[in-house]
Amino acid sequence: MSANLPTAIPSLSTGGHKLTAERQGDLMTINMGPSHPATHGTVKFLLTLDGEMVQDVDIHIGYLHRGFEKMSEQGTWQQVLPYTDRLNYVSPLINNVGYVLAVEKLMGVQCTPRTTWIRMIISEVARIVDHFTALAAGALELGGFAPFLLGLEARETLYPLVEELTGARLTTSYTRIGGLRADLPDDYEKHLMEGIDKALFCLEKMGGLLTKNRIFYDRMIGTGPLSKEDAISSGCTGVMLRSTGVDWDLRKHQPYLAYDQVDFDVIIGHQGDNYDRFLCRIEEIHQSVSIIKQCFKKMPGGPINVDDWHVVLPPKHAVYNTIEGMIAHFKLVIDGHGVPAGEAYQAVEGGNGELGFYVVSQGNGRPFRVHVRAPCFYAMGIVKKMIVGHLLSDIIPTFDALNMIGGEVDR
Amino acid sequence: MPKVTIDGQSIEVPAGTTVLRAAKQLGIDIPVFCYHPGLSIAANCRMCLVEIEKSPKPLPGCYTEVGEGMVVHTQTERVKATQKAVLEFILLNHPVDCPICDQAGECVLQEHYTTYSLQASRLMHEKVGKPKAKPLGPNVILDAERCIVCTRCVRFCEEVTKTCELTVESRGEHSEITTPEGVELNNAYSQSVVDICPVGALTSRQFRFHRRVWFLDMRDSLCTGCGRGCSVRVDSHKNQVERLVPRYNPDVNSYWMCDDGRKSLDGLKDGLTMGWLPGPDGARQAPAADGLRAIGAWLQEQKTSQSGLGIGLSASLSNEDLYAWARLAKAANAKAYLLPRAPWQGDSLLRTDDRDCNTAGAKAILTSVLGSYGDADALIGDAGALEVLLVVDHGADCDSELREALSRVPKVGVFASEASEWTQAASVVVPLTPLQAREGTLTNVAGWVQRLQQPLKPAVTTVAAHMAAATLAPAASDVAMDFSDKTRPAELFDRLAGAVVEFKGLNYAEIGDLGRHLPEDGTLAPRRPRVDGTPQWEPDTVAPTFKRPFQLRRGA
Repeated sequence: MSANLPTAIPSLSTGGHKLTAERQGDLMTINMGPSHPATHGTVKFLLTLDGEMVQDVDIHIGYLHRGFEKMSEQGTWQQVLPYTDRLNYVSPLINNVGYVLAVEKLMGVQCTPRTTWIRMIISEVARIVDHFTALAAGALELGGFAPFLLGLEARETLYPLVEELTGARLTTSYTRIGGLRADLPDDYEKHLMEGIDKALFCLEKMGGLLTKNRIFYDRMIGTGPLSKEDAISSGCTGVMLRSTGVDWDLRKHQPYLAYDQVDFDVIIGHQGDNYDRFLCRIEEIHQSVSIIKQCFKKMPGGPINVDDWHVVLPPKHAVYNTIEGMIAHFKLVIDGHGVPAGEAYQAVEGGNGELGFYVVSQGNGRPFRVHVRAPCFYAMGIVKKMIVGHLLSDIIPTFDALNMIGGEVDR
Repeated sequence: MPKVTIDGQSIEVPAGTTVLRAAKQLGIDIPVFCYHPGLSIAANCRMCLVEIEKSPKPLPGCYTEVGEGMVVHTQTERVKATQKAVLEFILLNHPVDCPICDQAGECVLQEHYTTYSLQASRLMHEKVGKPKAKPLGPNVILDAERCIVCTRCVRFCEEVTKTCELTVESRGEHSEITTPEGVELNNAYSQSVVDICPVGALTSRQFRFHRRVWFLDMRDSLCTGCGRGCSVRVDSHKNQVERLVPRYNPDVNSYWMCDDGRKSLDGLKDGLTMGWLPGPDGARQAPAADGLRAIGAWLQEQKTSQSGLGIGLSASLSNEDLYAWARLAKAANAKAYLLPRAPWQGDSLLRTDDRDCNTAGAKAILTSVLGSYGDADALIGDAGALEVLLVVDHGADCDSELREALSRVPKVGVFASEASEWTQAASVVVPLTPLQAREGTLTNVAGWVQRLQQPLKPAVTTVAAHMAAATLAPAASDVAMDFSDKTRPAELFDRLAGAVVEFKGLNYAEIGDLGRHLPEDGTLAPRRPRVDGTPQWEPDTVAPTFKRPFQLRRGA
């Protein structure tokens, strides 16, 4: 089911910035970024300004390009996994899940039931962190330092829980082809739910500071407008697409893992402006919390790794003490996974939308090609249309509500 | 010809063909440990058991000959269960050695286990202990625990070298490869047992613990150790040769090569990368280009003065080198001398008495281009009349007579890939690119022309011998040459084939990996089909490429 956001107060939501002043002087061309706090050091806006009005903009990406896709062709299938941490580095767990799902699809491997549910839990935790970061950074760049601190506090209650699970805050590399690095730690449900409660408390306070804040209203409502048609034609997904009123969430409409067995709403907006995107994110955090609770309830016990040494490394006691385990381990590490020749595409709902992995194998233990369909990359294609004709100052909330992550755009 | 059906595919094969070979022709792989195409059939490992209809028990595919109407199954549950059982049995006493085993990465046992079994160990007892790191001879070291007693090595010593140094001692799980009291594995081909050992039981003292095999850069080439010119694979790491292993060539060396051949590349490790030139303060180091300039000046002078010029050539140069230098000698009216190495004791298997790798080619080319040429004695006799002597890749030992002769020649230039008494006697030394770091062809003792395939990268300060000739030719004479220093060995070979009657009709591209025989009575023998064609057996090494049968289903 999808749920609509509450309509914003009508007298305020029709506002926007419609300046009609005559052009006073010459057009001005200025660089905004890449060394600009609001462009994250990874994007340059080459702006043509008429006063404060954006006449034209040329957007340059690529400042964080590290050749992820090319690097992936050098290692074995499993060795690509740590690279995926660095895509959307705010929600690396979703990247981990998406990548192994694509490889498993190509191999025809089905992960164990317990792993299926754990992968959903970690995806939702990552989504919550991702949304918190987007909300907090967005508030900060509009001058709201208190909401920023609250958002970061929420994130900092969750990161230690990710660390407890994976050993790292960001570079998680938690999934494995055919399973996971390790099972959930003891009492993890308790720890996680406590952490989430704290985060939700922060969210409530943060929402209280922003949602009906007049200054925030004026900066967010009507700015960065995006139509349904533009969103669809440019390939926008995730919050960007849903904020325009399109009911589309991969978890609901192309369910993977066990998302068809949990109950949650797809949050959609009304008019595709920055305020809608802000509200969508807040509401999606609540939905994710609900999914996590359901997952813990429905999650079965049992093994986390498939019982096949072609896919998963043998247990260490078998590797160190028996020649059979040793050989299986050795060949899997040296030769890589026996992914049959062919290709597969698997998309998951990432923090910012459809995160897809297109993998091609020639059957020789190493990826022939790994392509990432990064949701932000497509959103960056339409951002010019959302900026031109509006105020220079509107770029900041628009770009923040888009939540562009350089690691993902520049592959 | 009996018709046999294997896994639903039918094929007619000559009577006496084994099921294993018939299956191979159909592209069906039957796993083996003890079977080796170059040895007799032992059928003791039981890995190749297949089901044959009307036979109550599975039969070894390597040994069973096909019969008319025979129906063979290699993929049934029973065959798979048998393969698993055989592997479990073999692995029962196998030590957990992969991390310290030289064979790991190219081990047949690893390959077969991952392909045909992958089941966990059920052993509940201690493994049987056996000697580790036991020297069998000067070159081969045995780890008896890793041995699966396939007896390939025993059969090799009985059938190929006929020296019978190895035998199996004890029975059952206590079986152990060993040498009789007072005997050591010390034949000229002893390291071949390391090549054919399917596991890491026999290791070469040369290669042992030197490099993990997956770091090796494996490239085809030829052995340059004697007149046989065995087809080999040169395994190197960071341009340093780690080992030579024989490459199957039915016409030249079959599956084998000798121990001295394997050592023939050791010299490359401290080869010359810089030559030297005389200077005011004694000799100074100089790259090939400087040396060539100095020698070019000698030749320019000599061209006008018409004083005596001598060119000493080794029979271990490539055909192209010899052709280029012979053309230079002819154009410059120089006297040419072929300086072969002192022979050693050959044998009836592979090793020739001749230690030079291209004597047949050298004689044919020099005779054809120059008509006549001298030898080391002629050089000693002529030394007093020579103004300039160039020695290209010295072959002969520089004995006292030669040294004395050299001292009588005012200008001696030596092109060499390693230091020797020749380079000490020279006033200018030009570093020569070793054969393994360049392209070219060699003609072996039986008339097979094969390609060196540049398995190593040359040092930039060295020069290939044919390039040196091409560079010096304009200085040495005004006769126009049909090659220059831009001419590649492939083109030079085609010019040579046009000019030298013994090579008539050959061309470089068609030589391929296995070589071609010189034309006999003016006609070329037809090309041999590639090794992976059905009549031949492919080289008995584990392919470094990844291969594994997938029980895994392709995703939707």
